[in-house]
Amino acid sequence: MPAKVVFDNVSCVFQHRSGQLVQALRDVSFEAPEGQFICVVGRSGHGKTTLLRVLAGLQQPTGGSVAVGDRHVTRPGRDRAMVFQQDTVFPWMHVRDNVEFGLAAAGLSKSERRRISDRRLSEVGLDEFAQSWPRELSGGMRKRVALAAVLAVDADVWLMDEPFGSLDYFTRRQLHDLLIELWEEANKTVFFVTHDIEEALILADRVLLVSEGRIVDDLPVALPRPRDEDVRASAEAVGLTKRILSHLGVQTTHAAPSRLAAQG
Amino acid sequence: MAFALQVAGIAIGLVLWELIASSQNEHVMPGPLEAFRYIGDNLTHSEYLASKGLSEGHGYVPHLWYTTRNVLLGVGIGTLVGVTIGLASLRLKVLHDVASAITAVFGTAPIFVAAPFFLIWFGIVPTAQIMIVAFYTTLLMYVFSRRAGENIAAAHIESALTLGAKRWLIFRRVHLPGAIPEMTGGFRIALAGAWGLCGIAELLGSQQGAGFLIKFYSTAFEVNGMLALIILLGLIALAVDRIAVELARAATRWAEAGHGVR
Repeated sequence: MPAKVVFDNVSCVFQHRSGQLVQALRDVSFEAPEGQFICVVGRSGHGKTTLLRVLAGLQQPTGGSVAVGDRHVTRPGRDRAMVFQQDTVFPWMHVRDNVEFGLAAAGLSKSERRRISDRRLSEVGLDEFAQSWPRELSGGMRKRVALAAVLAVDADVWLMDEPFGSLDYFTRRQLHDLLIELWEEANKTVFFVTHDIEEALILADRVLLVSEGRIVDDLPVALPRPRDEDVRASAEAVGLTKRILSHLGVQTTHAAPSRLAAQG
Repeated sequence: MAFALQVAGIAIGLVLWELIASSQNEHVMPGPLEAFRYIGDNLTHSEYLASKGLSEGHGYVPHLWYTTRNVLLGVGIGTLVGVTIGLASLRLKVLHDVASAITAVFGTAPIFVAAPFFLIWFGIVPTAQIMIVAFYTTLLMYVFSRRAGENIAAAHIESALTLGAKRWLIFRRVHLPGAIPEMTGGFRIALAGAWGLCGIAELLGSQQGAGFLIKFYSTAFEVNGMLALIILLGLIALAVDRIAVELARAATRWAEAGHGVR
């Protein structure tokens, strides 16, 4: 089941090695309804990833609380599986074992794991690579493996921390299409961190703009899907892009807005 | 090509040995042919050792087996303990602090200092030699396995956590396999050093083993016998190392798999 996510006055303060305190999140509050695709956009170092890590349970907030459905988030759990920016596919496991890892953690039988991994590998187009080592795959294919692992555990919330940031433009676009297809089918709540405005406008139902640890704007993205080049060049998309860029402090007078990414 | 170079290296070594031996007294420095002849005469049956009441006439084999068994047991125990402590210390700071202090203090103690303690504690029995090897292997494998564990990307652990894995599963399926390539290097160093440690432990106090026989031959001024045993011990160590390399290769096939589709 998709789940409603609630952030209630969440703050997060780190102590830097120098002893200086860094406030990564400041009184962040919002609600995300079930099944919504949310992109968290902002400059590097402004709290996007911290927000995601708090939701994942990998980082404890120093103030406020986070809830998914009727459960308070206190630790990581497979109801909030995450795809990371780094390559987190385990290189010492075959592709199939990577996809089945979370299922093994849940104590499912071998036959049940096999049935689910067959289905998920097929969905991400990797059924022929089940017995491959991750090193034998391209970067884009390894991201598909990570996606299949998240699909396999049937997480209520999908967390994605700039998952396609290291990939080339064409591979990224293919993965956008795949992700949207999987999300539309599964109807899960997705939090997708990116600093790429075009990526956010391709994917999101809603954009949360984060700056200096605060949510400075909460934009609904009502563009029709699929969001091809024509949709992204529409007046509404250009208007959204300008609004995002102005929050990020970028001048847009002569720029081609939909192609601009936030700096950093 | 690599095999040909290895054979050429051995051939050059033998030629140099023969050249040096030919300029020395044959009782002080026998040549390779003489040493190999001595091996042939004493490997499975030795009139000389039998006349001295050693080996019951069975030659070097029981002594070489004794040393080999002690080395393998010592390295096995040390690896098990060292890896367990090394990886467990990643989560338990107290264990890390204690183990690091022990490694820093005792890791630098020379075998000649440490061995008498083991001989006093365990007596002149195989246990003493096994424990000496196990002790130094534990220290080495602790350092290597801890470093290997530290080098596993934090994102791998966090990914496992968000997929619902608990500590034991993460230890078994993330830390352990991820650390194997780096630990393999430590294991081979421990294995190579173990032959020397065991030999020295036997020299200092044992009634059996290759080290004991070398000590016996040195007392009798039988350089041929000493060289024969050193050569045999070296060959066994080489064979065991090859087996270790093949086992490690089988366990890390994933690291050797071809690079991804571009």
